[in-house]
Amino acid sequence: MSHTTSSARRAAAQRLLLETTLFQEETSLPRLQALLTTLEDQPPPAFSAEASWRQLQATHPDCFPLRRARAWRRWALAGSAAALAALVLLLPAQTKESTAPAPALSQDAVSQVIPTSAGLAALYDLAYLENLAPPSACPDVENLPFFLPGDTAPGHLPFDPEDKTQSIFLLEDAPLSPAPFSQDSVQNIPSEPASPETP
Amino acid sequence: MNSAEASWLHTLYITYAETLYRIACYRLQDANRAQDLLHSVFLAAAQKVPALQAHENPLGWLLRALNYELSHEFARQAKQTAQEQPLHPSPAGLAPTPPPSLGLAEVLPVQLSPRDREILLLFYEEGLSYQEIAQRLGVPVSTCGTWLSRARKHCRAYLSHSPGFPD
Repeated sequence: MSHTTSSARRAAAQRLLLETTLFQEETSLPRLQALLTTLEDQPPPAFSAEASWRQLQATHPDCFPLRRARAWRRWALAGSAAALAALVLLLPAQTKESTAPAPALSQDAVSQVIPTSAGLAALYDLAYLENLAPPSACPDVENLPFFLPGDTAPGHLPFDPEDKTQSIFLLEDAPLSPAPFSQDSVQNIPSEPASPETP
Repeated sequence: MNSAEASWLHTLYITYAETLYRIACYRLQDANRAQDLLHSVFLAAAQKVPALQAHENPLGWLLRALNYELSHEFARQAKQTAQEQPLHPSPAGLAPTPPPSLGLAEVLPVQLSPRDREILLLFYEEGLSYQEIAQRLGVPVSTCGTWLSRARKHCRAYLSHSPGFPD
């Protein structure tokens, strides 16, 4: 039995060697995998193609332009995050409740969030939470300009279009230009102001 | 390499990397070196993506590249062993450690002529180019190509009659 296994393994080894050297053009992936399964006493160390691919790109960034671009973006992002962190550290707190300065961001908190875009977003959140009031879900109507409680709701005209006393706001009733001069109006202009002495 | 080529190479890697890695592991018995060789193969592929895309058999191309890397690795190991031997001589009477996997010389059919065997070993095991083989054997490069092609044909013919190779 073991002799059969041994001869089968040897045949598989022979065949694998020949198919990976002399007859590479005629072999196929399933055949190679079957031969390897026969040959391997124990499975090889776990192999992740994706992880290996990422490692290859990381080790040789000069060969992979996308990786270069990603590296460039990472540096740019790190710079932006550092600038933002500096801004956060230097600006005084703007809390509503207290005028005391907000606690400064710790170096750990900044360095943890710098490397990725998600980290940058987290840094924004962190800065916002530490210096400003928490964002409200909907706008505070009372603090909106132009509208006070009891005012006309947005979307309504501030006058009644039917009311002729307010029709000055309407274009068709409002004079667009002074009325043209007429001959009568010119003739009726007094040439000299009337003297109080002459009747 | 543009993004389309990088994407194509990535697909190629995902498809074939594990099998190539297992072959290298089996031949070298060293997972770390196998990973290094795999990366070397795909770095070579990254330099020739357009040619590889037009190739009719990318797996064959990758296997040839892996074989080339393996032959260089074996040569390096042999050189290293030769350098270390005077410093650490093996005890007399002990047989040398057997290779972990078969060598090509052991699996070639015994019926092959010495010339066929030599040229196959020079090309596939030592990884020499046609020019180097022609220089070593003292023949024109074109003759070298003809001899190699004929040797492969003979090898296939002998193997087709052996019990381990039904097809």
